[in-house]
Amino acid sequence: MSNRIEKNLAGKLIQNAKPVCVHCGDPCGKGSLQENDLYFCCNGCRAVYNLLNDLELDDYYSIEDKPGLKPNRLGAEDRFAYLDQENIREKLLDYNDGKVARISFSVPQIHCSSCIWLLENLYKINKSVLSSRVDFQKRLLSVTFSINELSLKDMVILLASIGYEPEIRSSSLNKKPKDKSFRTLYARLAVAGFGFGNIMLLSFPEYLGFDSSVAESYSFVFAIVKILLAIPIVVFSAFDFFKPAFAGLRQKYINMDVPVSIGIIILFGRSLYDIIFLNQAGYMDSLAALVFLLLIGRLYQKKTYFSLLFTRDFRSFFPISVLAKNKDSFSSMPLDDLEEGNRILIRNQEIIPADSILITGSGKIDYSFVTGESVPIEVNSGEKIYAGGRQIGQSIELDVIKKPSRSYLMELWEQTSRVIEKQQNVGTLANRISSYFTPLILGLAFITAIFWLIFDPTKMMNSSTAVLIIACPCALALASPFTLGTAQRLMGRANLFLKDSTVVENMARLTSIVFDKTGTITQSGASEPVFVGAKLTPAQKSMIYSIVRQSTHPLSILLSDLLSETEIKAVKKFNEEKGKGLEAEIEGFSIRVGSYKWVGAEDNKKIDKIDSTTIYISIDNDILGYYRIANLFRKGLPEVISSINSIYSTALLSGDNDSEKNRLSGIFGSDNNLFFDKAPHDKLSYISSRIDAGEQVAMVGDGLNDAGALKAATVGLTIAENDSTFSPACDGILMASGFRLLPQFLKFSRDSLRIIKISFLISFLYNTIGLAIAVQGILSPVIAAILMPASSVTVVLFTTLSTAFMAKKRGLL
Amino acid sequence: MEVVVILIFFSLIIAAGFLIAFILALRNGQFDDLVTPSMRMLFDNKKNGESKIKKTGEF
Repeated sequence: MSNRIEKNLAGKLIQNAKPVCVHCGDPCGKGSLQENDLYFCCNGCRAVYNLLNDLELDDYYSIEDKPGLKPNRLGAEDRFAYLDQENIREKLLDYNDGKVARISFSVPQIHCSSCIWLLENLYKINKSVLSSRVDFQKRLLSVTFSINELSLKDMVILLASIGYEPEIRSSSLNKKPKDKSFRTLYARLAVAGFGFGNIMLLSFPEYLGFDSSVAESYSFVFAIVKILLAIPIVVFSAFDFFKPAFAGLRQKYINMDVPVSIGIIILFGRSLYDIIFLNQAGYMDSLAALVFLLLIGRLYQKKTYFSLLFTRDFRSFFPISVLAKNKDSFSSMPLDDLEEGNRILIRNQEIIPADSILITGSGKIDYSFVTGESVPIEVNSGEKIYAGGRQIGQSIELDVIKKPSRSYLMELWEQTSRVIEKQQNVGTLANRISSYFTPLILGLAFITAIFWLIFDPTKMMNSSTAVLIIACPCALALASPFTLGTAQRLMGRANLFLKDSTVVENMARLTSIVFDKTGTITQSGASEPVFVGAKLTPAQKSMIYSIVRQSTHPLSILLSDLLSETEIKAVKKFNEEKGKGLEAEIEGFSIRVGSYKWVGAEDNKKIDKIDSTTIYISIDNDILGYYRIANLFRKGLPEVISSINSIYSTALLSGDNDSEKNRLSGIFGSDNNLFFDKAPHDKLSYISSRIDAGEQVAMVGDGLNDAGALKAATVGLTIAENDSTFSPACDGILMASGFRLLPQFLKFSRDSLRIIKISFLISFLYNTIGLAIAVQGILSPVIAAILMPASSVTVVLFTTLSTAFMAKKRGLL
Repeated sequence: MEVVVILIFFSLIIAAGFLIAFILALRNGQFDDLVTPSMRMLFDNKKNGESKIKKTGEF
């Protein structure tokens, strides 16, 4: 088996000019390894490949092509040492009896069926694993293992060694109970569907108008069975409507569930009375159909994207523990125990969990999670480092100056959580209509009752209850779920993933759109140095390249990537001054590359000082010019902004300086709404103030520094490069590839609201017909059983089809 | 015609049985993950049907 695969893979390699790693599929550049005919991009990949081959687990490579992940074995023993601490371990484990333990990990790397296969065959790699199970949608792995043979730490190291390092974050410690609302909804739907089908069946004799003496004699038996079937529907299935209706009424607010609940109760009461006292058929069939259809609406509305997390807070971002100095040595300490003054050790690629001061080592901090800016910032000892940054390079020691829970970002987060409680659902169109509709219907029923009390008291109860039954806004209540649910699904197909379908309606009401700059309208990780000054000759370029490739400074790396096509020259007397620049001698020329001061531009009147990130170049004291590090704007940004500008008021909130003001005002049309140097809490208060002024604001951002603003906004959208990018809590995640469709998404959300309004008209039309019959007191069960589902089905068909049509028209499909 | 009544009761009992079976399965968590089993199903068993893949089952 394994031979066959190896041949296959080797065959593939010959076809491709550039060999790719058989494990992970990355191109094999320098430092790649070759074993027989197989190429590996790194040692880690080879180790996993050999391990799986030895264990005859090579099916991993035959299910999907090159499914592997690069294992991160770096300091695994130390990194996971905290898992040996009992209090942490017990919090993480779902079950532990000392022999057998069970745990669920979040493993975001799971991406294909090979992953499932390998992770569910863990027991072949280590005999102490009893069983393992993957939930692909949720990227969840549950493992049952003998904890007396294999410690939790070793379990995690095992996973890390094959490339599936689980994500263990502070938030994993507070286990949330599983969301079982789907189960309950399915159960309610099943009961309602069961009742609906059977009651309909038992009602057939009435529909067909059998009044032979035989059918007559059984009609009472049938009616009793119908009551028995209807009871669980009212008590269990319809509970989903009674509960919010009651909650709404207690807050003195009439939501859509109120008229629905009134309709259900009146239907049931009237039918009971008719069957028991008048020996009539009752409306149980309509009741069952109504609840069944409404529950389908609920289910349809409840679309969730399991693989995306919309509720991440800072805790889901920080590690569980850090290495803190205890007397003379560093040992792992839970984040919660970390105090001011603790000395902590942060290694390559680790996240700084608390605001602190750099003591030893040179810090190169990547704040991309915080600001979206991916060029690392250099920090010298004695300077402050904020929580949320990621250290790149060597290990550094820090002194904690604020507890993790009191770090700047965390406090900002807590503040927004307290201030903002979005009034969910209260303001929706359906609920606003209901607050007019319900009193109207109750009034109409009352007038009907008075009318018949005067002219024909025998018809009073009959006609007034009929009004309440027929007016039950089934179609009205279905219009929103089906339109918004369809809209949410179609947007998801075009790469905008919304937390829930109510966000569509909030989107439709927006009046202004606020953008963050770095990482939102610029492509994260893509910056391009642009040379300003006289044109460089190839010889000059190769000199610059030769000198910058000696340095590991991020800006040097950026420059050397840009110039990598040029020739390399011999460099003499190379010198690098931290925070200033580089100097060297090449072919007799003395070259300086670095800051404004470094090249001596201060004494040179001709060269302007520029605020943005710049690299000045001088050869033999002649300043040739400078490279400006410009962010690359996303493709189609000018079109997107100008299209949005025509309907909404736009603004830009940037944490950076205003060096790009001119470029941006060209795109945004003016510079009135461009704000620079905004700290996270400035962004938050800007959004809040505009909302207080009665505006409906959308915030489009990305990093943690936007988290407060995203939360405060009517709609908070984050932009993600791919689905594993960290995104803070928000209402929707827009994939970078869908960015140019943003105006279309906004227009489409407005279309959706228009569709809801039209379907309200349709259902009112049906209601008018029904009410005309009801007020006369001649509503028969058959008419009700036809009219009510008919209106619902019309509305459902109209909303889903027209929403799909509009999505197509807007170019989303 | 009495037989109709009897048949209706039988059919109701059978249908209710299925309803209960569905709800029990639901409570067991069998409908929690509808995606992974469809992918798992496609894994081949090892060598000439000699299955080494142990079905882990519910836990």
